[in-house]
Amino acid sequence: MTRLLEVEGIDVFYGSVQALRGVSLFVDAGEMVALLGANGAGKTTTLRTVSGLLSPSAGSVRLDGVEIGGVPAHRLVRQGIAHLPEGRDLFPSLTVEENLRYGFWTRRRAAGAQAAWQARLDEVYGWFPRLGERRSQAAGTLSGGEQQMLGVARALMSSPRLLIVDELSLGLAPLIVEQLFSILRSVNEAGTAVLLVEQFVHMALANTNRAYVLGKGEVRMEKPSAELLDDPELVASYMGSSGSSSNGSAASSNGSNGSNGSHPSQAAPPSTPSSGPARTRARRPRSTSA
Amino acid sequence: MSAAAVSPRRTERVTGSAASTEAPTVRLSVAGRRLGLVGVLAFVLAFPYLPFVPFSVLGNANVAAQYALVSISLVVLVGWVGQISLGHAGMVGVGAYVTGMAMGGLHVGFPVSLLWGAAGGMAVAVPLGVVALRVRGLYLAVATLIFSWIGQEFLFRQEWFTKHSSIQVSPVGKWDTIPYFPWDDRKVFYYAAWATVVLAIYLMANLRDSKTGRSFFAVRGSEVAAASLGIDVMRTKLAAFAVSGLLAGAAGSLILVGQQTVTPDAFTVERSLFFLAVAVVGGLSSLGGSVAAAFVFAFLNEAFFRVKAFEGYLTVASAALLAIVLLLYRGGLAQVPADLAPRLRRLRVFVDPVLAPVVSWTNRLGDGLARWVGAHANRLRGRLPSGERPTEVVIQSPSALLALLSRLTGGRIKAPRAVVRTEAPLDLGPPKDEEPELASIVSLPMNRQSAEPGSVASVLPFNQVERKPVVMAADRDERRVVLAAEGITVRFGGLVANEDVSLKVCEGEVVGLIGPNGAGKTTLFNAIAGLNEPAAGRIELFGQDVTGLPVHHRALLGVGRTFQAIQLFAQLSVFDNLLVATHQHNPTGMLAHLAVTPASLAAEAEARQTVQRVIRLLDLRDVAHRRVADLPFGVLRMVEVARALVTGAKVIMLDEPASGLDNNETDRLVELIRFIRSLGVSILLIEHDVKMVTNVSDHLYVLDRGRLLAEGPAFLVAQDEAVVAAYLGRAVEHGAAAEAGR
Amino acid sequence: MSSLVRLLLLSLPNIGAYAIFAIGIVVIFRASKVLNVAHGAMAMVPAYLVTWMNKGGVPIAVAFVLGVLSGGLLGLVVERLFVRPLRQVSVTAQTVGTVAALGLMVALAGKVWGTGTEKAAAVFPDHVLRVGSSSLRTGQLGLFLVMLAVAGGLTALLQLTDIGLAMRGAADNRRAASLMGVDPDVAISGAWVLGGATAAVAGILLAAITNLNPLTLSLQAIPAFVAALIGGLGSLFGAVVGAAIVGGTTGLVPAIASLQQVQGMQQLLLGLVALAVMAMRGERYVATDVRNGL
Repeated sequence: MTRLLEVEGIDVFYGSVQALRGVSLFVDAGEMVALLGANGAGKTTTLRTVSGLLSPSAGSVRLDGVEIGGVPAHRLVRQGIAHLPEGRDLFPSLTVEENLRYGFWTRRRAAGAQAAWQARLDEVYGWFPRLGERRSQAAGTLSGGEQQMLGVARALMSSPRLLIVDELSLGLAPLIVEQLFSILRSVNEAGTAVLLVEQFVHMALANTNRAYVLGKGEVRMEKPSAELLDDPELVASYMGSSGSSSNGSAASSNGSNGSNGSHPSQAAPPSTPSSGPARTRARRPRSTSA
Repeated sequence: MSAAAVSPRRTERVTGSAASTEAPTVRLSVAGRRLGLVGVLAFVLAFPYLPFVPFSVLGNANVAAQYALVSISLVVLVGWVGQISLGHAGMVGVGAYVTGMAMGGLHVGFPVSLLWGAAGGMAVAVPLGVVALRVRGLYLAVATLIFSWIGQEFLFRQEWFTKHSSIQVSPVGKWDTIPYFPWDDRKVFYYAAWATVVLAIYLMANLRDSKTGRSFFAVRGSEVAAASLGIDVMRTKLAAFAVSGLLAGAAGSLILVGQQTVTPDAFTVERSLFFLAVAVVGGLSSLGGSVAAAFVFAFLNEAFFRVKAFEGYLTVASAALLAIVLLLYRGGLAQVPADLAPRLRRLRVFVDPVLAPVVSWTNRLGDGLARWVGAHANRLRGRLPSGERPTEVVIQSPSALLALLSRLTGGRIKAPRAVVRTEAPLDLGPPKDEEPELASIVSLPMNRQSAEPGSVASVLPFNQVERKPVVMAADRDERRVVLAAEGITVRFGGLVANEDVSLKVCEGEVVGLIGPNGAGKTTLFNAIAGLNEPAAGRIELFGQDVTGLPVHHRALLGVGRTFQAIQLFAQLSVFDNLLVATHQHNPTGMLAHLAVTPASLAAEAEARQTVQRVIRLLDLRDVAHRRVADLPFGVLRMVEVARALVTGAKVIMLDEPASGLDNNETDRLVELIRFIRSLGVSILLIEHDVKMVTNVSDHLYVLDRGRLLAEGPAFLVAQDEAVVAAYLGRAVEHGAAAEAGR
Repeated sequence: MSSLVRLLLLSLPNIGAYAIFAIGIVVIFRASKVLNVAHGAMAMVPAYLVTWMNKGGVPIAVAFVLGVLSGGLLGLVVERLFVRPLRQVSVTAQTVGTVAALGLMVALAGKVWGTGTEKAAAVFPDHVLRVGSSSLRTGQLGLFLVMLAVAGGLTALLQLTDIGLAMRGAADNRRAASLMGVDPDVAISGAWVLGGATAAVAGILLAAITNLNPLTLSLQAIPAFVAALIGGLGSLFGAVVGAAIVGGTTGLVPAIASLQQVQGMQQLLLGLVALAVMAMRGERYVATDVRNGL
């Protein structure tokens, strides 16, 4: 498989706060990859950096081997990246069809655009009949589930090669989440690579090929999704001390004095060998940044 | 005018110690400097009578006083409180016309008529302030613009309002004027005008350095944070409008008396924008900058009046100046001395040889004079030896003018707050055997007298203080409830963010509130703090129902908080940020601050000592006098917690305090939370870092999709199947099971 | 009945001018959340330019088109020079930026064309139309009709074209626009160009039926601010309705003799209406601001 996206050792800051510390990951063409981790681990930041909303202060982001770190988002859309941000991010005062039309923006001047637009529209309405019914309704008046459908549909209008999805399930009923995931899968089967962040971990793992686990801005683990499903380390990375053997020791070592401060890595939950490779990957010497 | 140098002087001091290492050869001695100041003062006082000062220059010096006063009025409102005004000419105009009515109709004389003008300005500013309570930002800008427009088109064209001012008014009153002073003489008026400005600067400098001034800055920085510290945002805004209107009205009064008659042209919308330009060019938050900008614009008046080639370009130049300052040099004139100082220092090599004779001559003369003054001379000269200026003086003195006076008189006139200028070692006693009360940490000086004098462990940073275990009833039901939320439901539009959630925090507990993203934790938090109104349910603090009470009332009851997105006052130093938090323990009011009464000084000294103690305790000394905006994130989190601590709150709510912190900083935070708890302060904690929460909490509540999923002792809850499922999203498959598991 | 007709006729030109102004103000506000204090000045400068060109022999139709273009350019310049550099600072700073732009334009116009009042070039041939006992000049009617055309044209542009779609979307949600491949900065500049061009249309036509004066003409936008506020600052339709209310109020005063006697009655009434509207709507803004701050 060809490597579509490669992120290597990126650092990202919000003002003076470092959100990512040397994050590396890759997505192959046609792959479906999950990015997991507790809140504040840096998942959304990673996605935003890939899609150009944030620029890394170190490290590189490459699409088809071409450096794209720091390129503004509106130029990356033409390169085939589509990003569905957390909370849908629709244009609330625009109608459903106008939202979709916006998604088609980069392709509106291509040869045969009118036909392509109609075909794409039919396809999307086929996936989401509800949207077809409400095509001239303002997006802001849709229900949560419909809005998320519209978000997915809009992201697909540009026929991306890499679809980035942030928290697809946020605030949605389980049934709708299932439905959206099945559509994502069929999109993926049609050849679009997907990189997704999802808080319903099991849902994410059941639907992806591989997964990365982030913690405190670093990659902690990288494994095939099927293997990760029953990994106790996964629970530990979310719940901290609970469910893992480090329960008592973590609490007491923290309580004693400040001496453990010099070994922050010991205090971090995944200290078993399985997290080793991921850590080394993250610290690989950085290529010269753009 | 001497106070114009106040703010630059302060910045100079910060860099002063670094500069002195370069050992400049040419510098004024103390006596020489004093002589120089006396010289400047003499020049200012003699100015109208100097033989080479033309009539128009004197006129523009008076105009500068008017500009300066309006600009100060804008500085208070826009610069300090952040309430934009595009309508100051309206207030100024009302001040002028009301003065005219008083003088023409009631035969009030000049100094008293100033009060009429001030009252007039205030009378229109306060209603405008009421508008500002409901709208802000852009809408306030329009509201003030419209106000100015109504003035221009309606009020200032009504005959009954303007008739006394359209003919020459006599500034000499029937009974209340000071005889011997012909106020209509331009020279005499010069003194009156500038005395008014100096008085205004004095009062405003007092206000700035007081509790009132800090509440102004706090409202500008973050209204939410200000309210959470117990500051009544509405009252603060109204007070600012009142003060600003007062000054603007007085300025109008000056304009009328200076010109003896006014036309509506002087108070148009265009004039409003011009006044704002003066304030912006001055730096928008500096009193000294205001005076400097007033001079710049008065100078432009004069220059464009004199040079024929410039004719007609005055307005262009004024507008261009505003544009340049706004776009390229936002600090305005107030910024100039700080920016120029290092550059001037580099130029010293060239300048020094030229200046040397002048300086040494001045020094010799000054020293000679000082010697001649006699017995006091040595003391005067020795007071501030050049090498060892105390760096601690950075703590602002309460009244810039008084401090200056004190310096000029060699300390015979006392700057009232000199007491707290030097950082005396604080005698924070070692933790007492009994459970320490908060009072011992944030206490009044007199309470601390009981602490063991001269103890070695006078001030220990919190993580070196040995903590006594907190004694609590084993059964939670027996503990005293300090915070309770019952059946809280919060809706945003159709979305139910919280549904029937109840929780309580007992005395001395650390209570954690966790849950996956979007579970409604922050919503619940804000409902408790008073930021959003629950559709149903009831909130109690210390047994009192506070459900409908505004944020600052809850703060006054003893609830402190931090924010997920840090809400410190970015433009203030760490020290001043903490000082804002002493607001509720300072009983003095605005009038006391204006007059610097002994009571207000005592309260101020007390507040500063409280802050010093907390700074030592939390080991923030290195950053105490640095601007918050320049500090790293980890420190800011600590400062925000420190600020909540300074309020003396008995319950502190922490909203994701560990987010953005690395492991080391998180550990330190855990230490701090435990320490705060050991003071008997209860803590309600929202946190995503589940490990950290379970580590530090006594009791946990878990929210999921707006409802309470589980509660119980921390170590049990964190291992609860349903909770783990909620975090990992298994609830999708086993939703029913999780529900049943409760 | 006839007094109603009279009122309508007195209000028509004002409604026309205020509506075009308010539409521009709303377009700009939606795109960059800035209240363009310089809007009146962006109308005044083209009005002077047109008169100047017309005096120099340029046919009025050509001068009008050039004037409108210059308005668009002015919008672009104000946005790039005075608004965008201050975006990082605050909305208030941006507003003060437009104040600076207003001051500069008024001052320069005063320098170039004098601060006195002069007669502007007529756009429409001057005739007086009789309606019952009242009269209406062609210029006044023209202004109203042009307003309808501008409102219709702008609505069509925004609703029916891709560029309009891009601008509406960018105003709605900057980030999403960026993620769809539209550079939001370009879209915002586009809104300012439109705002400037419409301001120019209103300025040129309004000057033609009143007079040219750097300051007076610049302040003609103030009633339009009131109109835009009444309309909620969000929609073109709201702006037109707001302008109708404002224009009607200003027409009311000369129509009623007792009100006419008091100077500045129009402005007082409008100002009070505006403050009342803000006081009624106020709370909502405050509340949303507080939540955004969290």
